[in-house]
Amino acid sequence: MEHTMTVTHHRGGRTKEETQELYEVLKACNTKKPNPEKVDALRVWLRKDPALWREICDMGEHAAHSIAEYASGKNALIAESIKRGREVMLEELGAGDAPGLERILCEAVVLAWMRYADVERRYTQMVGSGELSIAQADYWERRASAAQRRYLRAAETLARIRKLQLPMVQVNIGEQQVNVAKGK
Amino acid sequence: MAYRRNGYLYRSRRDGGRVTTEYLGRGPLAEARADLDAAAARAREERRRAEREERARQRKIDATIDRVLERARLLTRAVLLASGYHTHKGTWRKARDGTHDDGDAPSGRQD
Repeated sequence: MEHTMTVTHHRGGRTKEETQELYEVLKACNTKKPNPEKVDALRVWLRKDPALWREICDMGEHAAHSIAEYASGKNALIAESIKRGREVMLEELGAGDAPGLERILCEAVVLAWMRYADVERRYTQMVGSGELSIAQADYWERRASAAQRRYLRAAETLARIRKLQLPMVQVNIGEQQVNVAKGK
Repeated sequence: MAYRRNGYLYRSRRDGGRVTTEYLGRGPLAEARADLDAAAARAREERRRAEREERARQRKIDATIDRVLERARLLTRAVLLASGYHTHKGTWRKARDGTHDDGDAPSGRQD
């Protein structure tokens, strides 16, 4: 199965109503025998708003840079090292050659990993300083657990999508073609 | 924090669940102890403020990451559904010829 979607504009973000509408369409499609009209509506949505792909990448990159700045304590060298580490990790995950959806999921995995690593590092530093109260330890323990869950979930999603080997879906943003899932 | 009553200095202390009042007296020594108490209270307040700010930063970063991950999940879901998959008991399945589940469909928790 192959779908081609073409748009010529980039829209930044959706309203709550539009997001709610999308959830409704997703819900309606999530049955053993979905109504073809609903599936078409979903494809129309994907066609109408493919800027979401790029938006997620941009948001991911922005968030990654925020983490790098925060984790480095405004030390430019450390910040650049963290950013380079992110790029290496993306390469290792094969994000460069991956279809759009996989690339986004690679970004998600790396982002979640950066956050997890930062929280663990802060927690370890605080424990080492010996100035951590029970309440603070509990707080950081919960942060670390949440970060770990987020990371594992992102990694699982990427692994699952790679295992599924989804059929090709193409999105054309302006003149640029983006393949969002690879063929079998 | 020390306070003055009738020209004498006192301070309140929490001891377990009880608040007790301690008499500090008057004169330079009492004033010095009151100053030390005030400095300690300021330092505690500063630590609490720093901790509140730190937690706010943590929440902000987590919220940003969660927004990205939520959108990625949303998109994953949309692509899977548009590709003919659906969730069955929390796992993704593909309908064979659009009519029924295939038994060996790749399984995995719903995203």
